Amino acid sequence: MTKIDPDADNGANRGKAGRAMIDFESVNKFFGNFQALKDINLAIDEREVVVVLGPSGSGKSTLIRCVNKLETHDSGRITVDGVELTNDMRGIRHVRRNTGMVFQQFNLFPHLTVIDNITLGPRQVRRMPKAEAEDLAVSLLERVHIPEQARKYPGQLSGGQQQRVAIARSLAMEPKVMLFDEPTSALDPEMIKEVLDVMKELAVTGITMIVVTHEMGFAREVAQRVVFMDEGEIVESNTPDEFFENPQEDRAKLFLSQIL
Amino acid sequence: MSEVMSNGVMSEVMSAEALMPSKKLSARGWMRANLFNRWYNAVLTLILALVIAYLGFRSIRYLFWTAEWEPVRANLTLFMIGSFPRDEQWRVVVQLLLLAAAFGVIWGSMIGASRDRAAQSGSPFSAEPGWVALRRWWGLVLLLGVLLLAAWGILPLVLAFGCIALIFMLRRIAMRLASKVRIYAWFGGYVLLIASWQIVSGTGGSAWFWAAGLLAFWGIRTVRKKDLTPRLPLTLVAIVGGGAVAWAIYTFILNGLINFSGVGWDNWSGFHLNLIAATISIIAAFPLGLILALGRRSSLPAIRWLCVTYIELIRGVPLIGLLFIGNSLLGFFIDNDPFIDFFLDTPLSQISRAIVIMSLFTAAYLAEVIRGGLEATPRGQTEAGQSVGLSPWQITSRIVMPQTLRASIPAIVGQFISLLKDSSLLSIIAVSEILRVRASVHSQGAFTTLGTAETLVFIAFAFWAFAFTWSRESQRLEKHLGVGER
Repeated sequence: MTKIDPDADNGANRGKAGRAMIDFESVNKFFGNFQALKDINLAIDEREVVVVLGPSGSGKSTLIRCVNKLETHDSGRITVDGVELTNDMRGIRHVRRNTGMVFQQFNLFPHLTVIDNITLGPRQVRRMPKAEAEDLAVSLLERVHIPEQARKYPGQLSGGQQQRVAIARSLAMEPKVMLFDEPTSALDPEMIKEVLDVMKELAVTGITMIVVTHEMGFAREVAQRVVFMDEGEIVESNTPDEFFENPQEDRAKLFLSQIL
Repeated sequence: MSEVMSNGVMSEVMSAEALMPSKKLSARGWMRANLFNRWYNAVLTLILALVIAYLGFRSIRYLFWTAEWEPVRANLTLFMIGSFPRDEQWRVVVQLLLLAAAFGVIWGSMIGASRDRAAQSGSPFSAEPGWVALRRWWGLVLLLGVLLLAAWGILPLVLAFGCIALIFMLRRIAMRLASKVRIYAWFGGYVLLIASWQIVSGTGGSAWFWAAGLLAFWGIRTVRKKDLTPRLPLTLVAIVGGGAVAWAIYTFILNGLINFSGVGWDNWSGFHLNLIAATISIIAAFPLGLILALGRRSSLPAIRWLCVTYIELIRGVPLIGLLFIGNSLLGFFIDNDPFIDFFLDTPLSQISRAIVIMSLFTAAYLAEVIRGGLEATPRGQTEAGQSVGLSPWQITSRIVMPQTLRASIPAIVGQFISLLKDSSLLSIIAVSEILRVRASVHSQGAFTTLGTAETLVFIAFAFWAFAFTWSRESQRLEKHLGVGER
């Protein structure tokens, strides 16, 4: 796989040349009368790191929750790694197996130890033998820098540690895509860095990542592309340098002026 | 301390604290600060003290002087086991000993298991000494004391202390077992529990059922330990296969060899029956309640409506009405049914019917309790399970159910307590549980009018002792399991 040059293409039509890992085509999503996503067209390449920005209520979370069908889109097509998301349960589970997700509230399983949290997916879904799954879990815990916490329960860990366990839990399925839904928003400031560091290390491994966040520093440093959303629409999609230095749309300018 | 006192602000705080009850105050000072600090409080204190003193005086005078305890004392055995055949009484004694042994083993294993878990996660753990538990169960201990006092003999005394010694001895042994052999302790506890049942009921009919449980237990353990896959089908095979093998062995090989006839449960009565009926009902109701709770949340409308209808129908009818229905109607449904006759050698007796009805009744309530727990599990838990690709069944069984059951334990124990108390309703359909026994006590010539209130007080006390102890235990369990803190 060749490294994607972030400056090659700025438009929403990216991915036509390379292989699109995730492809949104005219996707609409409603909650009752409220339209959460309006005609979303977005293609994300394999190995690409995309940060989704936007004010709260702009549909960022809904967008990435549609990728593994935690939310169901009402019209349009979403394709993940060549599999279109329909009502077919097998297709959905195939996509979920290959898609890791990290939540704002960690959502660790409180009744299981850290290592059991991580091995649950591999053992249940991939039918991995226990010993192998635990070896995998230990190596992942080393990767997120907390191997010593393996036998503790989530409640015994700090927020930052819990979120890193959640990242390890997602990685245990060896996903092709990682989705981060505001992973640092529920953390105390001193713990944000340890989680972002793990995410940065992950970004250079070449995994496809979509990150919804308010961490502008992270977006500038790690993202290959910034997608700015407002009121359910993709307003602007650009390289981080271009987006932060020279935003094109008024709404993006307003957002940046409020946040920076 | 002197440093703190030298600080002006702190010393003011200290003087404010002096108003609070604390060890530094003498009893006199405490009373002055809390009971007589204003004139109207002093008046209130005096009035209340008079009321309490009067009630206390009347109660003590009643309990120790005026009350006629003779009907209770003379009929103690009758209250406890009713019309249980007297020459088979030894079975109840052995049952008590077996139960004590099972309790000791299981209790010790539980302590051992939580010690292991604590060691694994690196948190401190200290086993609670046995006498602390006895102090916690003071309701039951008081009941035991009253019974021993009323029975006033060497044999009951030996039995009581034998049981207690057995509990604590086996607890001590079981809690020290290494985690690898603990599984055999659980196994042993299960065998003891079954034995305690079989010793009274005899091996006729139901023995193969228990053996099936044992074999299934062994099968499930093998599946888990060897990490065999696919796990769920193999577990089902273990359960069904265990049942089939046990049934075959019992029917074709052991039949006639082990024909250890006991006292069928139709001859049980007294408080013994109350306890047994409540226990069987809650055990039978639990799986049904679980299925109903899951069914009520099913996405298939037919299943959902079936479960909702069942739950709402049962919950809308008083238990006593259901008992009457069961007494007269159930026979029409299940008598001469070939499928049921296959399992039962004799037609269902009145007690069996009552227990079936109580189980069906409790299942509807348990279903609602469990459903509450299911709905209290945060949505994020399900989403996290979905995001790693678990199937809906795996999410329910691995993630949601364990948390739900943990959170529902206090409510389930609450159901058990109310079931125990409701078992007194069986007297109305002529089942000889403890209240019915009381009626027969007062039909004896000597006691027709004597001590009619006292026997009721005694029965109430017996129910209270169990209900109170269980409710305290469930509160403790709730804290222990960390329900409510995530």
